[in-house]
Amino acid sequence: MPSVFLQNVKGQEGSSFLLFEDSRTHSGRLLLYALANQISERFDQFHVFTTELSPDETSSYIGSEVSSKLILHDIWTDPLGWNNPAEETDPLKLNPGSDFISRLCCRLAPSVSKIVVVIDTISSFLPYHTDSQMCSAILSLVTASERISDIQNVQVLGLLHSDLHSEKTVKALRYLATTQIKLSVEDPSLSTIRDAHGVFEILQNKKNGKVKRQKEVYRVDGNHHLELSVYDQQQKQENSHGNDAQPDPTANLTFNLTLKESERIAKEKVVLPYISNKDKSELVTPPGSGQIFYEPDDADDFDEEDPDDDLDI
Amino acid sequence: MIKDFNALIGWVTETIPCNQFILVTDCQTDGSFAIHNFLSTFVRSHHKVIFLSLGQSFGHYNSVAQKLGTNLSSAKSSGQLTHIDGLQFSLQLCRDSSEDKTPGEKLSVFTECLRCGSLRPLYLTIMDLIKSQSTSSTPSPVSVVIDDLSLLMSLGFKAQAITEFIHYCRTALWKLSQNAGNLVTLVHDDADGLDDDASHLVIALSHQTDMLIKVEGLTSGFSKDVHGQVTIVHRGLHQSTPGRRKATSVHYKILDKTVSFFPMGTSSAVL
Amino acid sequence: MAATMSTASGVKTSFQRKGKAKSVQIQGTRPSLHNNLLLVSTGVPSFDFILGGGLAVGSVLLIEEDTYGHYAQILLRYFLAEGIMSGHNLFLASASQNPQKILKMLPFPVEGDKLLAGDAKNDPTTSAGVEPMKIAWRYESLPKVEGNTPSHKFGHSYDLSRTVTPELLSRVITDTFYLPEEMKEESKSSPLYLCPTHQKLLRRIESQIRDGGYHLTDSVQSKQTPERTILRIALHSLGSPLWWDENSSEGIDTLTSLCRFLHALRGLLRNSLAVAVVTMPTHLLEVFTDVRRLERLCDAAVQIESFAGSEKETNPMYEEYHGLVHVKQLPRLNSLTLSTPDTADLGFKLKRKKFTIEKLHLPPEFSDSTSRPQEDVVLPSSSTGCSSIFQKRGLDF
Repeated sequence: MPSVFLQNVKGQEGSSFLLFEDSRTHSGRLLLYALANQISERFDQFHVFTTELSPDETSSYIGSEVSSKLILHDIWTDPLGWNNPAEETDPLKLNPGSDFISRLCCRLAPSVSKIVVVIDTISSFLPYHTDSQMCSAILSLVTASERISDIQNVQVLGLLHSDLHSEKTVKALRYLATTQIKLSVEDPSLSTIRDAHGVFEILQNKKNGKVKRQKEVYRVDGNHHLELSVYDQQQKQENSHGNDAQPDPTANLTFNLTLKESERIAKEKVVLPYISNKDKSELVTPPGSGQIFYEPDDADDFDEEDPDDDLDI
Repeated sequence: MIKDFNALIGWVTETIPCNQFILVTDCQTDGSFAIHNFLSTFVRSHHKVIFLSLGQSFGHYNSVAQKLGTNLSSAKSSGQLTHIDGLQFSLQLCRDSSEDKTPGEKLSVFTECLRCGSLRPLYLTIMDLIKSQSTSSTPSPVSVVIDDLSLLMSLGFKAQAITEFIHYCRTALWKLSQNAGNLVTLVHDDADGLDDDASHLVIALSHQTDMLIKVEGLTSGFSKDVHGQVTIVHRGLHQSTPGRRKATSVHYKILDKTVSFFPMGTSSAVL
Repeated sequence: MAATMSTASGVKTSFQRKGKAKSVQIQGTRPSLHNNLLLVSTGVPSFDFILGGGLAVGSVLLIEEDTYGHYAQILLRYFLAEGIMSGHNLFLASASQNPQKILKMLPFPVEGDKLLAGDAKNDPTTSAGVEPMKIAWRYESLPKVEGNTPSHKFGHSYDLSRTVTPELLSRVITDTFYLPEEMKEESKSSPLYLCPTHQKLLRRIESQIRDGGYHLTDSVQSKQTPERTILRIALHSLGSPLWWDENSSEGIDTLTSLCRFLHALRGLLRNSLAVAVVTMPTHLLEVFTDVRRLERLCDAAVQIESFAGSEKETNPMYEEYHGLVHVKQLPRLNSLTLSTPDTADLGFKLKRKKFTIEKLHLPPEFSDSTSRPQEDVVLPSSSTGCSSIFQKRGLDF
């Protein structure tokens, strides 16, 4: 089975919005930039809006092949204008509908037709905007070709910390996305799959109405190259067996701890002592056999008092 | 203890890593020992330290540091450590809002913060301190320690305001480039809590952190020999080699002058 | 490394903590052994033991009230009465009861008569000696919770059946804050960041500390006034609806205001020869995370749960006790560690003359032939599968 994820690299379907949903246990940044690197190889410009990483940290995610195409929009250093109170534009707070586009345009080289835009992260903008503002801002990027004459294809990749936002917000952004990539909540370092960075689920909404859904395993090497394989249950089990097979405590014992089926049945048939009288009499004592009846006679010294009356049996 | 703890978080070399944002969260226990450790480590590594304490007096940190073998008060008097006494914030607030305050009088930083609803004035204070520290003749890394951030929330700030504040503290350190030290802060993480805003703060900060130190009480209850569990999670690109375990968990026990760490299940009471 | 160590030891001698210097001079206090704190007694020795020896001067203890506030107030009264015996000055604030009345209800110290008699001889310390019990005299010296032997000057015995006499009360300076009276005079401008009630109380405490000379600024410290003493601050039912006053403080969340108040109080006390006990009806708060916030702003927090009016009152397990004490937080001052009690299960008893906190244990079993308490214990569990045999009451042996 081919990787659905890699089909995005070609970007043949025209402009699209890829939404990466991650959580605090499993960051989606590595996967996001690996894909962005790969797409950028055949695109003209690589725009990155960075809000959560410093510029140098961001560039460490960028592959050397595409670093020449990189245009970094730094919203990290002064997102709210705290350092320059005179300046009235707060990059995070400014009207996102026009801001993304205008920032893009400023740095757009002539005769550029295919661009990749990474928004790292959408989460940083959300506290200052309503869901609809944010959605229209992203849409304006995706549909930039309608406004800017040269542009033909815009691939927007957005990272969203889905555990930070309400379900409503996440759904609103999913509605907009042509492809959703949900990184598994499970901590990848605890994963049983060897040599992988993690697992994600991809949901691709094709223009012809088809929806593809697949779970894939990814791994990114030191040169930002992406390796993908389709995740299936078998592989997981195989791996988990090979990785950390639980030591069997019943192995290599000098005595027998396990029971065969026949032994188990035999064991269950054994009547334990101290089982209540009734059950036992049905099983072992056929009525009338070997019972002792004693009738006291006059010579007997019968004590009326029950010696055991404090036992409460 | 300092050596043990630093080995635990992977700081084994003489010069400690820099330009990291380290978040300590504690859940149903007290994680302040990590703060004490970082304070001592930075002072010993000859970092310039800017220390904002919100919950305790400087004397408390000094006494503990003394038990760990570090002298904070001499670091303070020599100018290596700058202490911002956040314990006085609310008191200043009360004085600032009283009637006998003359209108023209300067308000305290914290009152300013509440007045504009953001922690920018506090950031600017820290920023100024960072600048003055870094321009000294002998350049050394500048680190910022804040204990504890949750208190700001109790005093009336929203999680978003605190996240913004921390973001700017990070940028201020980053601008020092060569002399950027670390930013360490503690947040209470009440996992059982219904307080949405508090858990929002923890999640938002743990998305940004380079190293997360989770201190948790034992879920099985109180024990005299094991006080809790520490989990270290390294985040970021350079930590993402596949196959390598990014998270390590150990148990710990706090003693008078040290904290002992041991692999889970190997407490001296068990063995 | 070696260099830093040597400087550390060099400065150690010149650095003196405030507690250390004063410990000899201030009566009714004792130094804590391992973290250089100055401790005062709560008036209940078993309570002191739980708190790690006593209340540290400069710290705040939060007592989370029982539903009817009865037992929490008894603890508060003990705290104040101990102040009289130790020669500490008192400050009491309340919104629901006139603090003057509370002061009149303080328990009478067992040594009170001697103390008054000793006053005549002008030698109060010698009288704090032996207090004989006529019957069961041996138990008097027994530790209330194991390992605690209260010294003579630290923690006294009180007779709850008697109240303190005005002569005793007049031995120390007392000041009160009765909210309805204090708030009569309307202030024109309402404060911005704290509820007016909190603001007012805080200002009052601040001026008390400043005017009474409890403040530990360096200039005062150098004077070394020998007659310095401790201010005991008791805040009764803070956080009750009477303290809220929501109308006059629009825009301020009462919980936030309370948090700021406690934070300011802590900040104030840290530099003062004062100690505060705050009782608070935390059961009135809806969200328990709010309670935790308040607890974190205090140094120690203890919750009193009374059996009065609850199901536990009739539970045979608790028949020895009047309620439970839940230790929510213990002080961690000047130290990495905190004093951990042996057990978290603590109960309290209120006898006619005495309030004690003890380790919870089951009552001894006195079985008579007619009623058999085991049955009560066994039967409820008989619904579980394994013990179904008991119901048939027919054992095979």
